[in-house]
Amino acid sequence: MNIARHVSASLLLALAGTTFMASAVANSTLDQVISSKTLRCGVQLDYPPAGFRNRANEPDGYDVQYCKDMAHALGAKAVIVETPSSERIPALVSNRIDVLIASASISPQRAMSVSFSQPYVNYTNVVLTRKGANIESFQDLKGRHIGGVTGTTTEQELQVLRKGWNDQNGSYTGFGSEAEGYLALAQGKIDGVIIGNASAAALVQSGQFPTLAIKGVAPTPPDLCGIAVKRSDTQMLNWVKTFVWAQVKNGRYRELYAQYFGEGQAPSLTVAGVDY
Amino acid sequence: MFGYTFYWSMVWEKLPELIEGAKTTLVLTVLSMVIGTLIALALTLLRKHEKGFGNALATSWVEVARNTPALFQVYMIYFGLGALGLHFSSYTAMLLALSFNNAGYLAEIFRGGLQAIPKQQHTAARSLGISSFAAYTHVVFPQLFRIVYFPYVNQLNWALLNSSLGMIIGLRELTGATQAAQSESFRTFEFFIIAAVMYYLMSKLIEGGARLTFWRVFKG
Amino acid sequence: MQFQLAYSGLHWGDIPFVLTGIWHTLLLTLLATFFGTVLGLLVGWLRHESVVARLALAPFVNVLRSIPLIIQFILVNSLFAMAGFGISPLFIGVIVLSLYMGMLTSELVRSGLQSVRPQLKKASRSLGLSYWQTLRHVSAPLALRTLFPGWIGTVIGLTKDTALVSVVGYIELLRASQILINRSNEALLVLAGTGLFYFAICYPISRYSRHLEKVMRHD
Repeated sequence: MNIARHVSASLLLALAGTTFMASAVANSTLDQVISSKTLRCGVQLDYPPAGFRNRANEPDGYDVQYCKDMAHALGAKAVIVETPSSERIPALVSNRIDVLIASASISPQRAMSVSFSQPYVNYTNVVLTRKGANIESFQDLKGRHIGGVTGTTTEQELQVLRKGWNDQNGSYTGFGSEAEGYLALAQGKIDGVIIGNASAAALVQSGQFPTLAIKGVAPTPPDLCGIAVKRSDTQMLNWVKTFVWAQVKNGRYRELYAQYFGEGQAPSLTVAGVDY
Repeated sequence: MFGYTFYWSMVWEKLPELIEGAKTTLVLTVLSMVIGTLIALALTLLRKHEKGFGNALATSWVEVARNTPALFQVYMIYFGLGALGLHFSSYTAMLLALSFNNAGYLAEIFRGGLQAIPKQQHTAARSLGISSFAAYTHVVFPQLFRIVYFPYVNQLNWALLNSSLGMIIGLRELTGATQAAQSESFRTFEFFIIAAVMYYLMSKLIEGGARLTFWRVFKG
Repeated sequence: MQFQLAYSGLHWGDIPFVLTGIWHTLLLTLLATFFGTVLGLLVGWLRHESVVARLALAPFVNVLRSIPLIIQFILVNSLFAMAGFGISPLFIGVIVLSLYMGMLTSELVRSGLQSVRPQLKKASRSLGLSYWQTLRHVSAPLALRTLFPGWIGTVIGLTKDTALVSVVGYIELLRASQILINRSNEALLVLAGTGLFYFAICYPISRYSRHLEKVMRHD
């Protein structure tokens, strides 16, 4: 605390004389977006196909398109702000972004820091492995080197399952992003990863990694992701919830799903037996 | 402060994971310094020759290590060599990258130190019938370590700070463990301020240990 | 409409992207060098002259050099966020690196000023020069000469450290090349090019600095 106060005091001093954007705390983000006609979305761009850079190095993907749809509905222009993992919350808290559309899994722990909309995308997890790695199902991962993305809920679930195996020979590596995990898998650093069905399908279809194959479903709960807004901003949250509902009702959800995650049934955005 | 509510309980819950990360950081730092020192001594001897392959190798090692970002060196060993079919775990890759980096900087420190030791000492040892290698290990190097002691400790501190790059390739050293923990609860600031304090303590530990060692070994 | 995934080989269209990365690296380096040097000169002089400043700044210097830059970027970024200021990643980079550069430069300035022999200062004062005249015409020129090679070394370090600002979302050269690697899978080629660029900037400067040191030792 002492250090923090020390650093912050000096920094605020150092900042005097430079220009910056002070945030208007009183208004809802919703009003700001409507009046400024810009919607700034925090997106992670190393999670293809939810967020990536296309051939022209422009942001693209399910989350990016979702942001553009949202901006359109608000009569605003979409601005994509790339937010690395440790930048997501600071960006949201400091009003550098209006909403976080970054395939963030909904969890009670996270909801203590931000407010989540109901799920806007659903990832079930599958096993992605290399052809010839001798892995046919999730159980075959026992005793092998596997990987996942650091800090994700999938990773925590995987750790629990691994503990149950009491795995002595295998190992687990957490990667900074999904893209790095694919690269490590293709290069043979690891033998399998647990990733969202959608990413896996798109990846295999792309033909970029001809050695990779999907082998079965992982016994983890479905990974339901929400759009996050500032915790206190109920007006914005209500609007986002309405928008997510409308996306499904209008069939746009199915359309986007088919475009970015491949053909096939777009999964339901609910958990059986409970309302969100 | 700033109307932001701190939730420290989440950090205390994850503290064992951060401490586990700090242990990895320390082990990584010390191992990379040991390997780096051995390589640096070899590079220093190779650079004694004015020309030839050995000199070229040692010089390029030192220049590349000193003139490219450490993060670049990490990427190169982890992903660049991966493309050539050489696969390392993120721990091994980090150890190799840090050792590579340390060796380059230490070789330069050692070279500076050697310049301060008169050449005649080696010659004198040789004339007493001591082999060239033994003359280095028994006469020259002990003095060298005394001269370069403080720059050496400085480099040790650098190695500690550089090990934080492990986060970027998914290693659970202190920074990586912190990153993972903050990602689960979205309490970015709380977690990283604790990590900062832990780095500070480790750095002071190294500094204090170094002073103590110096006093014991060279003054006692 | 079938989805076209991100992965595609390198092409000429990537050049502007890389150039932007290079520009961002250079911009950040130049800004941080400038502000850091100004800050370092001022703070170094203060630390040399005033005991109070020396004691007050000591913990600050101590902390800055014991915490990894990555964590400094993240912390400063979150601090501004909590205070409600949305600041661009470039700004965060400039602030943290300038402070860091300022801290290192101030150490150099202080030892540079200490290296000026007190007799010289006394002599010039007894010739009737004021404190400021002595500083300007005697101490500063001598001190700057001694600290110059060290300062160049610090600038090289700073150039390399700009690569770390990517953790708060600044797309400089190394981050740009990582993006290209993720897209194209051409790790070795892209990294080799990137490394060559840093080397091409840092190596000549470090050679020059070593040359200067040699010259100074001889005269």
